[in-house]
Amino acid sequence: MALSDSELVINAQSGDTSAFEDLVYRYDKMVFRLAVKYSGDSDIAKDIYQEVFIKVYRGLKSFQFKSEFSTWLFRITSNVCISHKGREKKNIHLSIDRDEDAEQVRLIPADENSSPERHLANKDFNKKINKALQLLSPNQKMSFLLKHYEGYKIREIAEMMDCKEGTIKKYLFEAVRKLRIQLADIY
Amino acid sequence: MAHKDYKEMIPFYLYDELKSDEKLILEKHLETCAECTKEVEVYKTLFNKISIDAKETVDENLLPESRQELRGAIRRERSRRTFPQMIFEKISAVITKPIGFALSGASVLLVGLFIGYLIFNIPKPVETTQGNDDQEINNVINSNIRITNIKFIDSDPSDGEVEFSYDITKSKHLKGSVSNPNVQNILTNAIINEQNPGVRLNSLNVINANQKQMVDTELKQTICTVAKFDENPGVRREALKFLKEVPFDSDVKNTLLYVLLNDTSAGLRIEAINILSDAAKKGVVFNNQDLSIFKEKAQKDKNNYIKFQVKNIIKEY
Repeated sequence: MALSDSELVINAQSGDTSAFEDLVYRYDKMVFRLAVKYSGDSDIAKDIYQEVFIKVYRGLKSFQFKSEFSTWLFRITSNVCISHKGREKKNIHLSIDRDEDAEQVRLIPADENSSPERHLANKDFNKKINKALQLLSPNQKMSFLLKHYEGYKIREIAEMMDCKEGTIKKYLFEAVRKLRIQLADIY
Repeated sequence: MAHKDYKEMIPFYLYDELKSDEKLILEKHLETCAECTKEVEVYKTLFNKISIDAKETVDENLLPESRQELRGAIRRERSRRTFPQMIFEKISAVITKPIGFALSGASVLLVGLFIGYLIFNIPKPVETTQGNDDQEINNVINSNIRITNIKFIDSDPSDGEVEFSYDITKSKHLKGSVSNPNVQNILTNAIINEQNPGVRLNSLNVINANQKQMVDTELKQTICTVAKFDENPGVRREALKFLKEVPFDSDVKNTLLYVLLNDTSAGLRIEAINILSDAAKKGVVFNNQDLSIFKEKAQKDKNNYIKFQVKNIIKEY
């Protein structure tokens, strides 16, 4: 039977590297996907992925089970994503000649049997929403992704982002309002 | 409640994140307000589209690369935290406490005495804290065991006692058949996690010496990852030698194609195309995606031998 997160954390804290790897493999797809969606760029997402799990590795010994491991992990992910955005802004001059097609993040449809037309429509929507997401503030974007892409409750997002629930509601409402304007042609 | 307030509740209504009384109020309002009902439909359409996008997964081919890089980073991280550094960290931590200055001298002295004690292995009775086993500590001190990762639980010597934990690392010898699962598990672990490329290479050599017709899937996948991502070309070459001997399947094929496409070493790309070429001769069927990789290599690879070999494979189809 698979070990629980807490059991793996305890084993990893006592130096069991395979327990740490199991924890990474359990969550790294989600972290990577969130990073890709947040940054819109798979290279930046790879940097975020590395930074998140190195921070987890360094911090695991002092993890005291005050929250779920997953909550702690996404708090780190959220912080790394948001601070990474800050660094990206400083280097904005580098992105003038960005090749948007080359930077298209490789996504695979969940339903591989979907019709080509539907797949194209989804791809088109994917492009639009990725572009629209980049217009949100870091906090709005992170709240939105944790809600709509990871399915967390507002209470959990507040814990992950170290904010009050009311603040998350404001971020979410603003994010949805802006996206609604950007994606007006879909309805 | 103002009309605007009802509108602002709609997204949270669809998230099912309204309190029960708020939900009732909104539902009552929706019965009579066409504008808000339409608003609900608009949000539903938007959220449905987003949920379809949310189901799309990132290409998992990107993950092994990131995982391998992470393993390297963790290896470096582990090697950076050397024993003296950990001792230094403990001392620094004590110094930063309010009573740190008073305690730091005593702690440094204690740590120094302890290290000296370990280095010179002075055979004198060990002071133990209550509840610890004298015999066990004597065994640790007097045997060939490394002590690492000392963590102070109580570094205040004013009450005559200190308390700390430590890790013990003991050398073990294992002698057994290469096909023994325990031997294979340890070697597989070394192939992935060992910092020294020589040890990774030796472990692979040993595994290569074993017969490979009944190879364990996990071991094969580990070696596929090594063939693609190990930072040392010698280790990657040894991994390819292993893949040459195991039954050809999609994991092996995809690894060889990856090496052919991405490896910077022409020697390793040649090794990969040779194995693929042998497989083609034995009747392995390549799909259109594989052929497109061959076509790309036939045009773009800098090495003429590789171009020649991929053209030969293409000719067969």
